[in-house]
Amino acid sequence: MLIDATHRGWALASIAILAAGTVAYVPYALFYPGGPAGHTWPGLIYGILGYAMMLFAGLMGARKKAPLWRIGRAKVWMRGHLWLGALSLPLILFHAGFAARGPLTFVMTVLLVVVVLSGVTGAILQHYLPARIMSEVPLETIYEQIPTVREQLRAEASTIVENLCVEPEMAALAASSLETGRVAVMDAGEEAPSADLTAEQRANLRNVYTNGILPFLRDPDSTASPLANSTKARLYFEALRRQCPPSTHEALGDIESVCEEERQLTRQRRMYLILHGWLLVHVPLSVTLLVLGGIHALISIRY
Amino acid sequence: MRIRTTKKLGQRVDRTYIGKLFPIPLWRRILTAGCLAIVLGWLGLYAVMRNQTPYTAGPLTTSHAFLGKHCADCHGEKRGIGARVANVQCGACHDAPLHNARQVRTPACIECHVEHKGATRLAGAIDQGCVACHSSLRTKSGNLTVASSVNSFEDHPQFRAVALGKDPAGLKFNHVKHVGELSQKCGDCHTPQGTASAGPAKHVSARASMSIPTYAGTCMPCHALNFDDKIQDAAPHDKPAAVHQFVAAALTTYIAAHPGDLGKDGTPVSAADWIAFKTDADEKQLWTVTCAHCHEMQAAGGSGLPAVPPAKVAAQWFTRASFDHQAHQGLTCASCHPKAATSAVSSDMLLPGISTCQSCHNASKTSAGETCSTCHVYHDWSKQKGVDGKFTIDKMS
Repeated sequence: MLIDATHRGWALASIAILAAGTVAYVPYALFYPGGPAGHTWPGLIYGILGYAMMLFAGLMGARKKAPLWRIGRAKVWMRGHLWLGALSLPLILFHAGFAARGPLTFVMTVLLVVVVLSGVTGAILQHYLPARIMSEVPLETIYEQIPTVREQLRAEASTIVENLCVEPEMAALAASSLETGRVAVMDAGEEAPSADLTAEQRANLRNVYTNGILPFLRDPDSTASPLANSTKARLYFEALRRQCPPSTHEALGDIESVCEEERQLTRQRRMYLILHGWLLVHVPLSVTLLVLGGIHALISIRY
Repeated sequence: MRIRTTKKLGQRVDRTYIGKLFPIPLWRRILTAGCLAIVLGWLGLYAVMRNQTPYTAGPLTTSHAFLGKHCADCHGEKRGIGARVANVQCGACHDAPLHNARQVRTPACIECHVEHKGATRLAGAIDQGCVACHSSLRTKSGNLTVASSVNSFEDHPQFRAVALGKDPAGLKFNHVKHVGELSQKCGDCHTPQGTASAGPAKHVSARASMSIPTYAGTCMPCHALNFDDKIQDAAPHDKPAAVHQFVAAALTTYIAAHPGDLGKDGTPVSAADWIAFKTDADEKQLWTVTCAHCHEMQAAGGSGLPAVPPAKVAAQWFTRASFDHQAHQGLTCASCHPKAATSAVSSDMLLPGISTCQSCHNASKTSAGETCSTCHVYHDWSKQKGVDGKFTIDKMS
């Protein structure tokens, strides 16, 4: 989510609440008998407000489970999640008087700090990374579809190579099968099987594909293959083209394009892991914090 | 040539993917469940052990540390939002006598004794509790006998004794003579002892005050009450009647043993007259010179003997506070009592003023402490009563 001018209202409201909380905290901390603590009335007010904000931030997860409910737009929930979630940290610190002396309160304070920091990290990543993905991965696909797409890319490349290396007498049969085939989705089949390749060139092309290109397509995340690097890949295919007749260059260009798409999917996957990996810290600790906060509230009311 | 069309891109999508759980959401769930399991297991383990330590708001003071496992031991059973530990809970173990019978408001125990802040000294109550009343002090009846407004040690009034400006001891003592000419040390006369004086602070037994210098213990070695060259024994340090009796008896014994002295040097020849004559002469020397060296002798009354006003040497100057000489033994005596070196009369007030205390006990970062409880005790321990305990060792351990 972009943090832009549309956040101004939330930002101003959050700053105002923080300022009011700070102004009220100073005399409370200086003059309240025994000092600031969670059990005092001002401390309780800070605690209730802080926990309410944490709950609201946590409810965004529930809101996602029910996207069709008419309970406010997702963007509004996200802005509230960002700003109220961040605001909960100072309010809870005011509640505790900037101390965490008990085991449970210490654990909760550490969790809160980690949750807010991971959330801020996530907000920064969500602000910058999507634009980078747009520019660096023009062939972006749905993240969850990457394994499926990769399978299809591999099949597509194999088909192109098979078509190039088919025996002349099989060319007509191969052409007809390509017209109806469901595997080659990128029109690779429109490339007519080449009859220009000699038996030696066909063997060489098969060898290059089997030992050079296919391993990369099977494990595109590996950096061992020269095809994992766009510059090296370009040189690789230029060399391959020099060994093959011009009639095969377009088909070789398609295989090169498949490899480029694989590299972009690898890049997309890496960026996606960064873009969403912080949630592996943020979400589990947030849920834990909310549960512990509830227990803390119940025990505090009890005693 | 590969051409990417929407239709062809759409054909690549596995439409069943929405129902599947992919790595990041899956691990999010696994980690969430793991974190919850860890913290709930931790709390559950303590719950099984019937130990509520995880929920404490902070470490208890050393003296209350054994109570940390069961919140209800101090907090009671019937609680609610904003409820505080009731005095009756503290009263189960502690007797806390009232500060003053005329005080307008009696604060709750926890207003001054703040728990869950670590191994502090709980008896060292916070100043806010004192200032709450003493910043504008009122009484239920009668007039105030202490300052009406004290907010900190900085605006603490001058010590009552110092404000009087005069030592009311009623003795004659020349510090200059003793410390200067005779090069005596302070410790030759002033020795520390454990505080055992009456008053609100008497239960603070470990504090050391200075003992009152006594004639027998301090003065006699140099100031023996000899009254006659012929009598070896000195007169007792007692009331004039006892002194008179001792002198007469000593002279009677002497003349009985030395009848040859009768009539010598113009003295009477009869023993009775000799005794009366010598007693009169020796007592005159005692009353006007020897005793008057230290005491303000008053004219003779009907008995013919002078009266000696009792000395009013203060056993403890501070009646509402405690001072610990032992805690200040690193200082030279003169640093707090500089006037002692120049004082020629005992009416000089040698007690240091509050500014001397404030030079170390102030609001600075290097302060030796300036809390009220450094010197004062709230509860009037002279009114302490017993407490019947309710806990057992089994329950506490």
